[in-house]
Amino acid sequence: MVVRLRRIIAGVGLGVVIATATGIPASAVSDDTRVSVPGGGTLTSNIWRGGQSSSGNTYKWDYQVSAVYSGSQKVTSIRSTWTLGSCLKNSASWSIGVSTGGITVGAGSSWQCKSITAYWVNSNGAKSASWRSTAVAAPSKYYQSGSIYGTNVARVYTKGYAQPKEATASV
Amino acid sequence: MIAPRRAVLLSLVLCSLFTAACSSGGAPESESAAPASVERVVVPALPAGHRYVFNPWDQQLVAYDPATGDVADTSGGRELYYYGFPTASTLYTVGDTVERGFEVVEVGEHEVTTVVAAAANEAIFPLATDGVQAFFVIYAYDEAGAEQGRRIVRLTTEGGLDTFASFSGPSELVDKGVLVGDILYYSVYDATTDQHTVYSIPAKDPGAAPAVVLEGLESGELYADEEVLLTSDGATVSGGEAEYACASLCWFYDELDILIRISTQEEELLLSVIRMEDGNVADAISGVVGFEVHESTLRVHTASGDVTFDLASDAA
Repeated sequence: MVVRLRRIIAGVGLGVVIATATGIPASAVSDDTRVSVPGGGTLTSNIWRGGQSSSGNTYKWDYQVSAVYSGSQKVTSIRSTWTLGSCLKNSASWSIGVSTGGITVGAGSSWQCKSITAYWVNSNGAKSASWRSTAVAAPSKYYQSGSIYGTNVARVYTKGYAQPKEATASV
Repeated sequence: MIAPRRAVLLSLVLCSLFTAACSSGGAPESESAAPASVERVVVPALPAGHRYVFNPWDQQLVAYDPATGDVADTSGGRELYYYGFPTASTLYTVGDTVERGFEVVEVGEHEVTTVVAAAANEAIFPLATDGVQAFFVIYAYDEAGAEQGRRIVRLTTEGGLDTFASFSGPSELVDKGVLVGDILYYSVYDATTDQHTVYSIPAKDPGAAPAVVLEGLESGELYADEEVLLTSDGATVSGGEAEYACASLCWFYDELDILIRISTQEEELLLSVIRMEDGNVADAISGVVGFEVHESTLRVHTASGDVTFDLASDAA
């Protein structure tokens, strides 16, 4: 059973609406996916991305991903695997605030969509795993408006069961 | 763009050889006897220049180009996962957590062959193998999908499954296993006490009574260093020459004195080669998709293409 909830956070009331270079409001957005786990409980995958902000010659987006198990089973491991990407050109760079560093697209003038994947695992019995950081496109003039995208794959293993359970959320 | 996937149709041919449910006739009977197996098992499409690789992190079979690292297709999606042994083997099990249709399959570079299909109400997972003998755990379910108990089986040379031990109830969740010589060790998780008990049973004697070896373990992970049983507390494997930091994706190659581990370091996925002698990391590489060991050569399938390591020099 998959329960999928998508919500667009109204930006005006929260004060997070930022006007982009093209005048399109960039609101915060998030997605939850919840699934049942063999042996009992539920796994929720969440990804949240804040509104676009400008800082000097860059665009920035705060984001957060999480995997949360709710139930009585003991957790062997729980993890988030997340991918954030965007479309850039003219040797622009893209980073998502992880240790693997950023990437740079080719020198061409056509849009190229690139992404970075990162991982976080808790194998200490914790029932959640989460990560929060900031994605950056630079220079901002070579970022294709509205092209940022992201997914978060949550996976949990519970004690005594071979099967993993996975849930994917995307924005 | 992910290419369309195709179902394994080999089970139509082979399940009639290996399962009682399919043994009575030709294709029409086979289709009606085990439709779930035919529909649920998925292998990726294989473009020119690509080969099959098992990705243990994702538990998916992927179509991989060793020259470029390109992954053209995967078995991913829905609730379907591939399951591998914790020691070297070309045998895997594959099935859908919800719909089931589990099979034992043999994965070659360019083909996936069904070895035996599980019954429609059962799931089958690898337990232990030494490359000759292969043991599995079968979970049985009722019509509502509730688990009814587990049993340990051994794959016979004729493609059958001999039952070695049966278990019922939430206090008898058979978990992990390892072969040490002719002894099969397996762990059983008791959810009511949150503890594992390790049993042993002669690997060549299905009728033998199991013996309790260890009690009160935090984790059911079991490994072997030559003739020595190794256990884990969920983070560290101990009992051998040294202690090894390895939570779950660990493969011991004791003949090479090497442990291979796939883990995350900060936000990166790494394959590490660890010397069993002292537990130190000899090599590490990121972007891992899968790996293989042939004699003393480790071939790591990475996002940039294959990278090889000489394990004989790493162990030295």
